[in-house]
Amino acid sequence: VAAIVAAAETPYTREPDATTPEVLARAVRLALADAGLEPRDVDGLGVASFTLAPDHAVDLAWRLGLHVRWLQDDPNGGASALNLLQHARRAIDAGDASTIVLVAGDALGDASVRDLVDAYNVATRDHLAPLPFGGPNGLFALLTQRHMAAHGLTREDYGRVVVAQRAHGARNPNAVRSRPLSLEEYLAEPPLAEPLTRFDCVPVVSGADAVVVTGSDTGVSVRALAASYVPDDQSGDGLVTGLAEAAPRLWAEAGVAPGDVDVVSVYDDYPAMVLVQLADLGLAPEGVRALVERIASGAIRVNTSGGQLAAGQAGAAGGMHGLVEVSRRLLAGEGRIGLVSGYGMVLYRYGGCANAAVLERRP
Amino acid sequence: VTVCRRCGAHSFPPRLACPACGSFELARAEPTGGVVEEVTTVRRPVDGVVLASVRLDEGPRVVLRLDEPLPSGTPVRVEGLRAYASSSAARSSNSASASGDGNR
Repeated sequence: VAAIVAAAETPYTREPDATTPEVLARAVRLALADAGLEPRDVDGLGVASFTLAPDHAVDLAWRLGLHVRWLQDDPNGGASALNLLQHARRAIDAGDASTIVLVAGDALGDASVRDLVDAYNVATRDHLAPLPFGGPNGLFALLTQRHMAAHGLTREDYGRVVVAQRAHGARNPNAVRSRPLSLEEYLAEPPLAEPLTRFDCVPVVSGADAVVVTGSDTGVSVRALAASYVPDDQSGDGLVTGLAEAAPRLWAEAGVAPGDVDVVSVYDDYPAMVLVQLADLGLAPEGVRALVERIASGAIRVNTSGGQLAAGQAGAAGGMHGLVEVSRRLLAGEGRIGLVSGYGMVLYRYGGCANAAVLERRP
Repeated sequence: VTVCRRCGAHSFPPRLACPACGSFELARAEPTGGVVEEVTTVRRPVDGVVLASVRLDEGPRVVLRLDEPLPSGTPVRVEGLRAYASSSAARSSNSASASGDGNR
């Protein structure tokens, strides 16, 4: 059965210290070392990167000396890692490949990110970039206002989510925001786009993440994986993601319940989206305010790496960061059941892609 | 916006097929006005750009630029990618068209 047997992350840096292929190669090297494998053992490669061009997945395979019979190139940002995993687990189980490396990352700085967000897709290039809109922060400021109104939340509620993640991040040597944050500091920060401050927005970093998937009776297996892309036509409020539609299929396939989950990573581009995704996945049965309490008290362990809000967002690695974190925790024996979500590809007003996986440490 | 020739649904940004009924027969229409839902002022990396989510009278929710923050519920007139409080004086038409590249 397909299982994740190794998971690795390069150091995240504020500015690129290498090219994108070099950064991806670092993550592949770390993941293979973690698995005790050599490049010659690999027969499948999947890559997600915004800045790999003009190279493609096959160039990366070539330059890494990999001879593969399964190859995927996934451009779906925050949903790319689980999208790759959705295909990789089936490829392993069907015998199309025996050992697959999935890698995601980018060598990005602030300037290259601005170019990337203005030309993200045709809708953004034609209808948002000319405003100018300054990237997704303004869009998610509007969404967060809707979320506050819908659930009676205040900035303090989002602050408690961010403070909890920053406390986790302070224990992650890879996090670029390595200092814990107090609620007072959070509330005193001036807005970037009301109600968001920089503490609600991910730091742009350079780096990469990778996992090794192979047929194994040990490691971390995928109990279930479900996806939903473009669940509406972007005329909604963005407060429900495709995860709401995917969740019944996910839990039915997994054969476990949301309450069985030991460790969770959800895609945290903004704290409102942390709460939205957890609710969509069934982890807020008593409402969003009660969910904030559980996160703040540590009753539920969410984004234990600090998430992207503390560790940083390394472009397309943002989609794999949570998968690597949950896989590592489970491989280390910290719990049996893990939950990971992917979210992203802001089509116009909010993300159009969502997916989630339930993972299990075996035996 | 695009308007479906079969069911009359309006969409923005322009589509290739109608999300409501699946028809590929779409035409273009100019939005006239709407109502402000939420407003924010983006301060970085651009400075002082006021963005609003506007519910168009035709249905779609769009992101437009305002000259200054307006309260939620304010009726607005839409010109290109900008919106103005309905009571304010008419301004010259913005160069960017909200209907963009449309469908051909």
